[in-house]
Amino acid sequence: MAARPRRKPQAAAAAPRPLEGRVVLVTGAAGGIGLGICQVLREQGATVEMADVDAVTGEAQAKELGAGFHSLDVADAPAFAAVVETVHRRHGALHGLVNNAGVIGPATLWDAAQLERVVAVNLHGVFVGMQQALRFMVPAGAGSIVNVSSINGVRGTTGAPMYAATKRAVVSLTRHAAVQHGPHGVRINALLPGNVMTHMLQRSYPSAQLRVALAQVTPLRRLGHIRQAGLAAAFLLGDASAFVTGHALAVDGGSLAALEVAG
Amino acid sequence: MNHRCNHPPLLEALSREPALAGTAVAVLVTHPVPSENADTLDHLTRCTRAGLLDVAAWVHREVAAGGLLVLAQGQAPTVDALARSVDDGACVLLEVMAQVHPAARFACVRWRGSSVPVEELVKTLVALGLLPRAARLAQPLVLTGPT
Repeated sequence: MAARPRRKPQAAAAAPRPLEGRVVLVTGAAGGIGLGICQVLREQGATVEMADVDAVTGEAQAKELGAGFHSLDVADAPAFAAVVETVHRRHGALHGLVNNAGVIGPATLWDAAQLERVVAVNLHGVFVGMQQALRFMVPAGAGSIVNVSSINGVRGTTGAPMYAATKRAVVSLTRHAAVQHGPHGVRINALLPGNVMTHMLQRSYPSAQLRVALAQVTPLRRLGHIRQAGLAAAFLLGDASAFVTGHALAVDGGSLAALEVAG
Repeated sequence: MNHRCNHPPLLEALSREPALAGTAVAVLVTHPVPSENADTLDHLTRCTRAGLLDVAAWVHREVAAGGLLVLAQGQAPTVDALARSVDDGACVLLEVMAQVHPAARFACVRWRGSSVPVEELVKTLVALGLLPRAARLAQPLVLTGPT
């Protein structure tokens, strides 16, 4: 009997890089969900420019990822415009923007200065980012913007009322902008993270016991990971969501659904 | 009953309404922010001042008194995306405060048009006052048709 020819071992399939060639700017990128988004975008081949008010951490993270970095407070409109301009000039294009920078703010309504800061970052910052990105995306006839909101913006749960208010306003702003700019070929969607393990969540739920309890009331019985938020953002930025705009995508382990069915 | 409202004709109508005699009502009426160019950061800043930050200050002042706190949002008939987004945010702010302050009841009522619909607002507040304490309404209550 003739010997069977030996099969050559198959080469490991290359990981798909659906965002190859795309230039994406991410704000609030130095940690938490923003960092998770940047990590996934890099894996998927995107050229990533990171922006954050924390320049020390941001520079270090960007170096590790092979991404660009810009020190930026999104509440500073001229500075934000300059960063977007720089990114576009550096790469000759801007295909995506993730407006992720946000602050939680106080649990009460008495400190006007703190409340104004929440509004300036969470709402005005998102608006300025969209405006500046659209300056380049509209003439190009293409682009995808992801505005990071929160499930607390859809169903206001206890905690930080102005945070919830601004996150709801972001969802509305996203929908209006999607309707306005759809004809220009630009898609605009919102990402609604639920209880994802970040420093922000740890500050709100400082004890491990509290976080375990939080996981137990989430239908999937666990807290989310920043990578999962990153994968969702990558979906919204890429061609797989080419017919998706004006949508608010919850990455929340079913928390919103649980609130809805509870009535 | 000592009602509070920043719109004098509405305050007078509330004071004359016998069905509200047993309910302390505080109403904040907000009006569309005029703008020649409604797609600017300047316009958004003015909308958030009038429609969100001032609302937060009002809630902070009024919530201790309990009773029925109503945010009455007047909107322009033509779509002002920034103003409407801010109004939606203010509605959720009330929703969060309702969970923290069970002694107070919160409602967000909205209309589109140039003048404050005093009679319709009074009827709406009477209806709200008749609801069971545990009732939860989808907010906002919109008094006019969609545009």
